[in-house]
Amino acid sequence: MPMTSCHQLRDDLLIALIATFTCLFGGVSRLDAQELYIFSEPASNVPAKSINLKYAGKYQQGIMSGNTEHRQMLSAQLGVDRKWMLRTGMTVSNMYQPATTFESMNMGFKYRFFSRDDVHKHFRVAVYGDGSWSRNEPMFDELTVDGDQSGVQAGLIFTQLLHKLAVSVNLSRLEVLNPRRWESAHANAHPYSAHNYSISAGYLLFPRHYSNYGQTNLNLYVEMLGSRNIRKSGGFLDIAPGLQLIIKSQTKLNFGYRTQIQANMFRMSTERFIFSMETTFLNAMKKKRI
Amino acid sequence: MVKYIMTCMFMFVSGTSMAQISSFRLQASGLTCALCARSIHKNLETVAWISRVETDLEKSEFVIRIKPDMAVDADMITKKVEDAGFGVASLTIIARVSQRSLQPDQHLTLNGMSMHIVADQGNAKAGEVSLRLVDKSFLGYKEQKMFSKLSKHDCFITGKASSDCCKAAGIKEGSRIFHVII
Repeated sequence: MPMTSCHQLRDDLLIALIATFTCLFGGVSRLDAQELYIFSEPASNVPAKSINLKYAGKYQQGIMSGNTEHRQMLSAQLGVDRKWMLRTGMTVSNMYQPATTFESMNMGFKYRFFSRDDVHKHFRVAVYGDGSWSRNEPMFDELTVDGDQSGVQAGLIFTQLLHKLAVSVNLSRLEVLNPRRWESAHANAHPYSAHNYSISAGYLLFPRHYSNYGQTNLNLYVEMLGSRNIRKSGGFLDIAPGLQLIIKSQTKLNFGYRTQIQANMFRMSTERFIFSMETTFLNAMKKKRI
Repeated sequence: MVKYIMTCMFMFVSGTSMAQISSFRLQASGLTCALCARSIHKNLETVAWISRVETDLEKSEFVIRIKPDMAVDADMITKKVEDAGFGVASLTIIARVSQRSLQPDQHLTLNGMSMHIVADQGNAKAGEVSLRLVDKSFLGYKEQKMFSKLSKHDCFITGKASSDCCKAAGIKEGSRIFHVII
């Protein structure tokens, strides 16, 4: 990675860190939090032998089309054991063409390799990898493997839970694997590699005191999401506040908004809304009592 | 089938003894929310010898009621908590013990679990007693170091019954031995 890109990434991370903590600690004296982030993930996994199903809808006003564009995403996560988790998903979208059509498939893993737990707190570290196939050709400078491009991504997640406050840092490297990357006519037209990073934090607003599993939880989140392209310069930093309802300790309803703080790249949109719903089937892979 | 045989053997060995584990008191580590507690709760409910699980969500504490006259295994509780993605901060056995007194380095077997008492905190009377497990897998990160010096016996290090103390108490050498404070 060029030295200037390194410095830029370091500066972006510093800004993201300061902004996240300013937002989170600014008006709240007592913090209760969760780590079930809306735009990113914690180092923790789905419980062993359990399945998590998720639907997400992403909405934005396209810079090129001027229309409201959307991407619908379905995904499943399987807890293999207490350390390993597998996931797969698919998307349909009208972000790269007028008609809504099948767009991509993806799969990945997460491995939690470090965990230091104590009462009401933990520090965990996980490594993850994702790969995707997408029908889209390179068009924008913003790189993702959740529908936009074919490629691979690998990264590290650090999560600290302190009582009910949770903070996560996510660092990853993404490589687009579109054949155009190796064609001389297109090699310099688009970026094909990026460092992505996020700093996420949140707290539990309600209930103030737990009495049973039926209480609806309301969690607040602030996430800073950034990216810095490699070789072809460009990057962005977004802030993403979010709300989450957890119903009957099983089903999550997530509402998120993401808007640009700074950018020097060609993006699909500078702001997005996301709605997602997910539910976990505990012990779905193990019915027999032992 | 193996579990049924073990249960029958346990019932035969224990005979008409009144000594029984009635419940475990578990404090889990690494969680704060009801969603996480529910995954532990559901995992524990899959264990055949557990009759009921009660939860204090504020404290991440669980009372695990045991079916009478069944062989139990504290390691299974740790496994179920870890499978849910969390850890055990403390696990205490609540049992009715018929011996007149309990003292350090005494061995006892309850519901198929062989135990070695490593310390006495002044609760060594007959009747309903609390036996806190102090093997590494039943302690939080900070307490693991603190409790590691409780006993110099080999069995405390390996978790397997040793020839120097456990065998003399009639426990088969090499079998699982749990260590408790009373």
